[in-house]
Amino acid sequence: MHKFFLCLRYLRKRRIAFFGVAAVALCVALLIVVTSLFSGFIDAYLSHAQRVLGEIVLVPGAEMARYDELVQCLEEQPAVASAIPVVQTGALLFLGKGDVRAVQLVGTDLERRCREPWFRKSLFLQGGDEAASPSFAVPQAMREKVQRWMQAKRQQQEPVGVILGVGVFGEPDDLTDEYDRAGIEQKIIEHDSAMVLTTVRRGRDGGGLETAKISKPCWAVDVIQTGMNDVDTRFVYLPFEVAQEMIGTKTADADYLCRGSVQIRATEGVKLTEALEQVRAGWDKFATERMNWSQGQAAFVDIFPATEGPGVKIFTHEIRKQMNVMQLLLGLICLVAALLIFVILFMVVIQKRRDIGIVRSLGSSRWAVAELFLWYGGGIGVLGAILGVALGAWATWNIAFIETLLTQLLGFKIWKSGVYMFSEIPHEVAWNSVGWIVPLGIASAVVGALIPAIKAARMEPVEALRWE
Amino acid sequence: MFKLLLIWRYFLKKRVAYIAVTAVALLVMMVLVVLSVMSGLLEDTRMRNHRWAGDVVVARDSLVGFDGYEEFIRRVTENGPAEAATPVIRTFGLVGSISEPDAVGIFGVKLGEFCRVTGFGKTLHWQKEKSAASFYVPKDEFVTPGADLLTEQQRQRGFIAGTLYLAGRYTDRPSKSEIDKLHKRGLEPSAYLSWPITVFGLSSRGTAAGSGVGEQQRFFYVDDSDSGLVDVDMSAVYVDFDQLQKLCYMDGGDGEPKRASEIRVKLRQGVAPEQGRTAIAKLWREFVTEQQAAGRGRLLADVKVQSWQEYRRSFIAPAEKEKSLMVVVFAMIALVAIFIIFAIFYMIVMEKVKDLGIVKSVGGSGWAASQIFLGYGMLVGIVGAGVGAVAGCLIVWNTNELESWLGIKLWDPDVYAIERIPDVVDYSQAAVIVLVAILASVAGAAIPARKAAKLEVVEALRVE
Repeated sequence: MHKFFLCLRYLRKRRIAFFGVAAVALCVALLIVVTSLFSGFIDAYLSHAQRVLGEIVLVPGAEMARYDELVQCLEEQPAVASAIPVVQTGALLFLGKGDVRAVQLVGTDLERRCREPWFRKSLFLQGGDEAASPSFAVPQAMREKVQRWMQAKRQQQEPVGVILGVGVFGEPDDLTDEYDRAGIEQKIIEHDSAMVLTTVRRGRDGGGLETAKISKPCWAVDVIQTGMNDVDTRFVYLPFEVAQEMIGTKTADADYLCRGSVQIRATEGVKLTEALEQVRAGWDKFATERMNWSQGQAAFVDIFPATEGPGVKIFTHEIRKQMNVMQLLLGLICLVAALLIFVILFMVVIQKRRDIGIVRSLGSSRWAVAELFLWYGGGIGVLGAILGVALGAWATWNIAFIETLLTQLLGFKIWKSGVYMFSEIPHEVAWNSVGWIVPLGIASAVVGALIPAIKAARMEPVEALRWE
Repeated sequence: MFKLLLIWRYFLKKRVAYIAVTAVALLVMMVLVVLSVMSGLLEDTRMRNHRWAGDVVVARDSLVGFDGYEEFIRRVTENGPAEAATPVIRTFGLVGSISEPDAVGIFGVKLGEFCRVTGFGKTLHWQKEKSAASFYVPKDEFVTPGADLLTEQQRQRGFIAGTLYLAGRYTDRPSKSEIDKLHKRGLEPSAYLSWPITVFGLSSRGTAAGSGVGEQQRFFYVDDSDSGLVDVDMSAVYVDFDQLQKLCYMDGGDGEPKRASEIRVKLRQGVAPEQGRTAIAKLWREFVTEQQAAGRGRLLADVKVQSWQEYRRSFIAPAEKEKSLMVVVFAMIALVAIFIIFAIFYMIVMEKVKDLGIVKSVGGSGWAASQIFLGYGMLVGIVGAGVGAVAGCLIVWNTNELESWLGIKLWDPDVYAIERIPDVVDYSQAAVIVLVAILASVAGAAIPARKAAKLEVVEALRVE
């Protein structure tokens, strides 16, 4: 019991111990912030992959038609919440006067896509109204401009409505990295000429190597801002049928053969493995019953969870490695903290010679004295760790605020979506990492206390008391 | 004299001083290693950017480009500060069609001139050693004359692709090792690999030119370029300037003057970069005024004259930021180090109270007592910083050996375009670190020294 009180007393009365506490707290906080940032980034990347690719991706091995029937077959499966057919390809977008962009053309089923709340909320004009369903149709307000443009250009074909990534339509502010929302909304409503979307496809005569360029006039009806840089700066959404018609090959029954994919979202609560199995079953049903394909033909398909895609895995692996390097560096700082605690305790041991002498002369063993200082070190560690966790968690939760402060202080923006892929900084504390960071902090304090404890234990009571 | 002797004695006899020395040494070493590696990486990034961009870039953002580039090039090279200058067309294009087409950046360059102005030639794979790289698709020497697979016109249409883009197109992983495998598997100019490239033609008024929906041409693989810049290597295809100019309707076919999007400039030897940029900017302003007076400068108004740093700023800045963040983190550690030194000196003062009493009682002033401790602090700082600097230098010089010896790969060369960890010590930086460490040691000793100075003789001697 007396050990506990002595520990407490030393902790309270020796102000120098606070430096030890502060050092441990700093290390723990830094480790927590860095780990949280990195794991938050990996999580954001994985969920980004899921948003852009769907939870499960189904890629047919060859060009095919009748995607609507495939989707129907898949959605009949209880484990499948939604299946969205998608065709993607690179394209050039002529925005107007001297402005051509390289974009990713994404043909999608908007009605199904808007069942995902993140997508509908990211729309500028049509995202606000929960009741209305967003569509690619040119709204009444813009019709007149479209008509006027068609007359002026003597164009018969009505431009198709498209939804552009916000970065395709405007540039973010250099300092704040934010888009001028009001200005962009104004620009969508007021622009008065069509854009031209150009891409290429395989020649229609089936020559294989021959390519044909195709283009389509289009009209921006909305803008999407998802916070994911590649979507925001490159994607152009348009109706699935239109995209299919653009890049597909016409079949006898007026459908189009093209290489697309289906993005599948599992019903909530269903295990991934089960969902995968059911997707496979849905595909088999479609292949054998609707398409009358042989088993061999039906096997020619790729079904995988989006987070296991080849590019995704390589990228997260690299980020994890970088995180480990950072952790190692910060772990070295923990070593410095241990050193600091060592020095402080050494001092306390020398100063508290008399206490040690008294404790020992009252019959405590050497081990008890050593224990006292180990407890002391541990106490510094625990206190520091608690403070560190609090500080780290606070810093992580308020990282955006800290970043704004730094931006003002340094005059440049640290976190730019163009560099870090996302406009939002991860701000979730990686609590599972706290499980090893806290013991590390305490352990470094105890290690620092080791030698002073031994020194204290080896002190002779007579020697210690002789002073004064 | 007695002060020096005391300092020396304390230094040798107090084992706790070794801890202080170790602490200082460890910190100096750590900061030196991290700073050297970080500045090495930053320097590397800058070098690659400089190599690719040239010294000064005259560019217009709009894909329409600007006219009068030939005249301006003549002026800067004849009387101006430029040794050489070359026009570049920068546009977007679609590549391929067998798999899904990719939208990439297409650069039209006059390869011979471009290699003289920039270090582009050194980034090539097949033509690296050649004195003059070209887009000409080489003839296979084993093919009998007459049985030529390509026409002479087709042979003019070579393309050079960024390594990562090329690897990403044919394998599922865009990386350098994949491109090596591709080369071994027979990806070479005589394989006549061809890509259809589609670009969008713009008239000088910015409207769609030609068919209005883009123009297509087939190009043949002649080389790949590994510039070490991920953003460039991932999405750049280079073709001949004249070919691309024609394809984009920038060659003056519509009666308007010929256009380019950029002029890359190499400065004369001995011209300071900033001076060169200012001189070129001045020449450009004069040129624009002249042209506008003649009623021709419609496209020239928003053309920017930038140094290579400005031109590639958004790609250099992240590396610079990373370095400054690192410095901040280590400044924090340095703060902790001062505490350590402070604590140690405090301890020594407490223990040496009696010595101080004696020093003072034989007539030493308070200042002399504090001098002992300041001198002691400096000695600890000098020895610690010296040991740390030597250890740090040894580590930095041998980082690559250490890395392979430890069997880890900090930076996968496939992903980061870093083949070697930088292993050069910046001595001016090292000197600053050492100096700061010594100052920090003295600062850490300052408070205990003050305490020593204020000590009363009687108080100090009373003990025991």
